[in-house]
Amino acid sequence: MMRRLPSKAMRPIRAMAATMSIAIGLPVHAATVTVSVGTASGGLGQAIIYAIPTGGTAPRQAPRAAIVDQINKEFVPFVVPVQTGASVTFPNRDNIRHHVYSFSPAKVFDLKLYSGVAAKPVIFDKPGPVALGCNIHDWMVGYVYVVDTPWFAKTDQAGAATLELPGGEYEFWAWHPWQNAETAPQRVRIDAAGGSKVAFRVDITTPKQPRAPQ
Amino acid sequence: MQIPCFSRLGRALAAALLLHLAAAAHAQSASLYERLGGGDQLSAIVSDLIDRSRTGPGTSRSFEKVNLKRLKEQITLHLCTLTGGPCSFAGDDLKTIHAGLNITQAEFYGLVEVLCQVLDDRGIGTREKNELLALLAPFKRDVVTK
Repeated sequence: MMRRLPSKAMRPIRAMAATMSIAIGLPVHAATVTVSVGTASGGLGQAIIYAIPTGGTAPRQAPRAAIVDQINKEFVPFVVPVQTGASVTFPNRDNIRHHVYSFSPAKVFDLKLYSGVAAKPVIFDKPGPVALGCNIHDWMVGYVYVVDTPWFAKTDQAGAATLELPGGEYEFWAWHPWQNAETAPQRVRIDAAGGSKVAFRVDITTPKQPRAPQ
Repeated sequence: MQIPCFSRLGRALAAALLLHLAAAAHAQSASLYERLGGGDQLSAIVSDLIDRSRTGPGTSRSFEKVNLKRLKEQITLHLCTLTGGPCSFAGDDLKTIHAGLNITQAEFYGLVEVLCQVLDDRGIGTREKNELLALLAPFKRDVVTK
């Protein structure tokens, strides 16, 4: 017969389990929320959507690391959302040099990237948009969008994304690198049973590609 | 008869040897940087060189998506340093810079040819032209990797 552990001995284990569920941030009753982003002419891909619980901050949890590759003189992916504090690596998949930089207030950095040489990851410790460029190849443009919540996603080509959220009230935000103006957030109560939908209209101006050489 | 510039390059190397010998006798002479016309002339030469190479059929490939403004600044700085001007080029070595670009010998000579035309068009003297080519010739082994 199995011996029961004394309840005193269980206490640290219970505490650990509680900490873990906070750390994971996804309680059992997470609801799937469908978010769509569109312009006047249809669904908008590459938009970042994120949810911040109203009347409180999002739970602290370890941010997931992200990767921005450089492939054929392009940043891949073009836009990547990360949580505040996330580390991002910039592997150079090209066989030539790159020199990634940002002058954005949320993160100022520069990183020389040699072919086949791993560079140190960059920690994005402030929320906001970070525009990436390459000193050597000025046609290269990319974005890291840093959010203060673990609940974020990027829309697909059709402008759709889903978030798994515990029931409750949230402020939903949308951002796109080519947006004409900041998009107003929406306060939405998410039903724990699921089925909630949030839709954004984001008007953009598509930059001329390729850009004229300087 | 117009001698193709890349054959001039070999001659330039020989000329460089003679120049080294002559240098002792002319220790007080002005730097190549000064004789080329200084910083403004050097920037103009580099600007013409890149603008023409960028569109030339035999040389354009290497300039795709490249930040040309920065490239011109860096090359000008390098040439200023090499020719004895008041500069200090702090970029990577040319081998690292050109790694992976797969620049062929034909592309390298294509660029030398454009440089010669630019120098001729800007009225640079034969002596200065040969000195400059002699300074650049040793970099061929760092630039050409294919």
